[in-house]
Amino acid sequence: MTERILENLADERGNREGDGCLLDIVLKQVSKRYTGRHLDAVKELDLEIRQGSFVALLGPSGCGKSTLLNLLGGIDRPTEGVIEVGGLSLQSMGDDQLTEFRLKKLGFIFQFFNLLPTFTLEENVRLPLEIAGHDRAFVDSEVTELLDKIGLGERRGYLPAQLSGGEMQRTAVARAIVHKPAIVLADEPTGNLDSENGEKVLALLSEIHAESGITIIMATHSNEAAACAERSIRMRDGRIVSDERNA
Amino acid sequence: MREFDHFLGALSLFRKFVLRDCLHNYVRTVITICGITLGVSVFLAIGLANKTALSSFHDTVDRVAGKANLEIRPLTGRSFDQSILTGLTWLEMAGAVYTPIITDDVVMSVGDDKSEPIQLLAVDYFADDAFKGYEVADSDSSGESPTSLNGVFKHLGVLVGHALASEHKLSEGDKIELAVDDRRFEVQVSGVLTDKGTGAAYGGRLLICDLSLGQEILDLPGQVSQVEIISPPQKIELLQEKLKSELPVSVTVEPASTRTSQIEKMTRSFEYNLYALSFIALLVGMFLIYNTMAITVIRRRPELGTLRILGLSSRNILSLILAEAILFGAVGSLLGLFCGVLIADWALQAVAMTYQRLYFSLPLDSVRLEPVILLVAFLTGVGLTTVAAVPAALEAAAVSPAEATRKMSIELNIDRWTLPFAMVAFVFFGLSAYSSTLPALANFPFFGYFSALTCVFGVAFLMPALLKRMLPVLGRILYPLMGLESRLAVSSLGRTLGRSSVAVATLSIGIAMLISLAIMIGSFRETVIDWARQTLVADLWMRPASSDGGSKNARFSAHMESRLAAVTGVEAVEPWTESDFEYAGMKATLGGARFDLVEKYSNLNYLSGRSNREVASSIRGKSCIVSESFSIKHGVQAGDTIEVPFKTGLMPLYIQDVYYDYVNDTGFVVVNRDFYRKNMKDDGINSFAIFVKKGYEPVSVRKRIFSELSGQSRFVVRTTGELRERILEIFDQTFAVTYALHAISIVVAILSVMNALFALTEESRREFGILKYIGLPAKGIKKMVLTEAGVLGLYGCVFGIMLGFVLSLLLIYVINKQSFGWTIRFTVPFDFIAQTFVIIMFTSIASGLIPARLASATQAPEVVRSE
Repeated sequence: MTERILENLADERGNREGDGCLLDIVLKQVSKRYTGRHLDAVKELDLEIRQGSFVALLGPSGCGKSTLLNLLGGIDRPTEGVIEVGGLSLQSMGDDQLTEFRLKKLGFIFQFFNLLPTFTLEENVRLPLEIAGHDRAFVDSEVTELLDKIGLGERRGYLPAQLSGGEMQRTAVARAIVHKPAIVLADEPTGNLDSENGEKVLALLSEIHAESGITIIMATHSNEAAACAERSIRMRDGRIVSDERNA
Repeated sequence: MREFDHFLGALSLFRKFVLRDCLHNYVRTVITICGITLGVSVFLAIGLANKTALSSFHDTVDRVAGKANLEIRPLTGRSFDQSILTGLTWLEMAGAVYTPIITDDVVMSVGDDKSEPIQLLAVDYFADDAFKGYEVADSDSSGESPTSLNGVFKHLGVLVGHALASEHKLSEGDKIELAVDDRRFEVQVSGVLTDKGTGAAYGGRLLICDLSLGQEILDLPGQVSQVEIISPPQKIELLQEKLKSELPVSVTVEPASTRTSQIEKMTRSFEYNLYALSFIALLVGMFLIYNTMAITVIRRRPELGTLRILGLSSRNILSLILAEAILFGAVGSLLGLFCGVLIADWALQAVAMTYQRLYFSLPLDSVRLEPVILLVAFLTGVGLTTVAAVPAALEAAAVSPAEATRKMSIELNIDRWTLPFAMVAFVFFGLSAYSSTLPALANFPFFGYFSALTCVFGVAFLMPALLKRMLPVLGRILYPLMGLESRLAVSSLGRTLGRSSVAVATLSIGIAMLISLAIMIGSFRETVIDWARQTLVADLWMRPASSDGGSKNARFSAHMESRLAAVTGVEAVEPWTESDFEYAGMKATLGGARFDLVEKYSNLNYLSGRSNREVASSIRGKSCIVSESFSIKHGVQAGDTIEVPFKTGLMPLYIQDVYYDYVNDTGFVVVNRDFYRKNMKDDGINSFAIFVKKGYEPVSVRKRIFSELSGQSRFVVRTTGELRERILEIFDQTFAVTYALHAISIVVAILSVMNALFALTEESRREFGILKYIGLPAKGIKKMVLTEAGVLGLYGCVFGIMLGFVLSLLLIYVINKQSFGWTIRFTVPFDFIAQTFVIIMFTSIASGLIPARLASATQAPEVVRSE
């Protein structure tokens, strides 16, 4: 079943490549309420994100940005409504299918990096390719190329605890894109960094977007960070209050 | 190839995710592995000791029997009349050959008033060659090559086992002094046996002599103890039937292997109970593993969430955590095998005395390394570790990818599960109560142990609910006494209810095991002391010297009774004679007592509550009393009639009453001495209870006995005080292994507390950092961690003692009763419990010292910044 869905997604990519609407994300009346809470974290959201977009989700803490990212990543399931990626509903996928979906199509970047502390920088980056079962030579070449490109080649043997915050987040970015996903979900990627390192990470994301056409959806509370995106969606109390194209 | 790549990938992930974490958290790793190592080593040591004891017996039976496939043995007593042999000549016509032998234990003097029990095997040197399983070493070639039996026909010549010869440097021509009954007997070494065939029986600690010399040494004229028969295989059953029909009912005809299975049956309770006790250390170790793995999953939850987000399936996560447990299990079990082999000799010495005293006389010098036992111990260690890790592995597999951004959710989960867990606990308690009422299965108290186990699990499941209620109470008590740190400590434990519960449950179970055993042993000891005080009312006790040296069948001759009675100061002499007999396929002891004297002087206690005078006066002719263990083992009681084999044939005996007795667990049937003598054709006396006239001191009467009788006889006389001391000495030796096993369980439990404290400390580093920021000094943080250790220890003790009481009831009234059939009066060793409490509290707080030091060294800015 999983493979069939992923094959469908791949076929779709092949059929629609070039027309700009590969793996479009569509949300229809999506709500999410956590157990034991009285309010919806997100409420009746209708949203469409085209393949290749760079979208910023803006809003204060608790407005539902992270919940929306979790829903888009298939990490949480909506209480109501439908989420479709490339025309396929995420709710129809079982746990194994969602796992496979995340492995092949998604990349994640977190505020607190979430690097595995017992893995070196390089091992953290290699992980998605190794889990996907790629052969060693392929993994070696992909990872080496990527690390050199983002300027972390010389620190490949370091453990996360030996890296600076900026280096950790760039490693997390590398891990999120090493397997060439269609979509990268970034939750406050600069939230735990100083301004200099924050800018470096944003520049890296912009560069990746420009070069590979990966869809990037970034939750942030910073207007400066949101300015890097093509589109800014403002949220408040679980609802979208504005949706604008950036200049 | 792709599968291979996947395998390598999994291996690589295991190395990076699991192995590195194990190395990084090396203290936790070492503690966990130590717990498994201790459990497995104890289990293995007891397994090897048990196996060695039983296989030594098996081996000796095989070596003595040699090629014989049938043997004639007495059903009662140690020998039978050799005139039986004259009626066996037809066996040769049927193609069978046979030979009589005598086996018995004698005591060898080894200088400096020391002696050791050895086996005497008397054989017919003219028997068919097929029976000659012994070889004599050539003294000119260092005992390497066997030669013929030159010189064995010398007067008083014996062949000496290789182990005995090498230990005492015996060679041809040396003289050996034997203590037999109350006599001395000197024999001469005619040759040294090789360690092959019969020569290796009894561990090489034996003497072989000619049949007639054996009869002379043991004072068994015209008697033999076995007839070994080699029958054509196809005729075994036929010959067995024919022999049974022709021979008197006082002997039995069975294959030699029957004796092995009989001894296995007899020792089963003792053996299985030892296994069950050694299993406790493993059980406590399981909780330690559960604790470790649960803490690992809690601590690494965000990492597991990240792995899930990166595409690892829940099955992969499950495998990863189980693989970690298997690694712990394998390393701990391998080390356990090593340590187990090291301590197995000690375990053997600890249990050998009980085997030898209660079941069979065999030297048990060193353990045999049985590969099967090693494998079973290893697999048990790995298996239990894996099983203990299953809940944590399932919890890890259920970690949602969203956990990558959250922390500590399991503590919320545990909180939510408190009520369902409590309900499960009550189901366990119900099962425990019900199974405690069920009878034994094949003489093994399976349901008793099941009841204890379910009770233990019940407490483990109830622990979160108990702590949830009790921690705030303690917090309110401690705050005015110990200040803010105590409140912080209690609240920290409350927030991490999951791991606090596991740590307290583990400690409670370890303590409960110790307390329950202490109550059971203490109660048993008090019962035995009471029994000795009430029953051993004579002033002096006399038995042959060889009996004191370990010879079971040592006797005085009948005339000793009158000579002893004639000693000045002796008022009465109560003789006691006993012989082993087989009842329902199991060994028991038949005793002959003078009930006229028992009625007048002794004080046996009966289950019916009737007086000693009333019961003793009713024992005449075919009536008897039986011990409590015989009654329970064979399901007989007062008013029943049992058929007991005597030399004169099977006799129906009416059971007048059942008396309390703690001498052995195989049981006694006691008849009047006159009846015993007449039907057992045995005038010998095993021991005397001597009553001293008023106005005479027992010690001075003892001196007179020695001065008047020791010229012709070698014996030991003890005062009642000395005998009681001796009984308690044997009692304490018997239970020494039990105490040792439980001390180890406690060590494992303390490791568990230490483990929990390390995890707690690590998990609370941010909290410590913040506390430092807001002004709590390092000393305060140290105090907080030590208070946490103390609180865990306190609750471990409180719940452990309570659970211990319940388990002790099960041990005393269910498990012991079904295994050994002894009534034990419940007494509580308050002093021991108080000591345990102090030691555990001290050890728990001490186990918090390292975590406290680590916690107080937390660098506040670093921790807070890293978050």
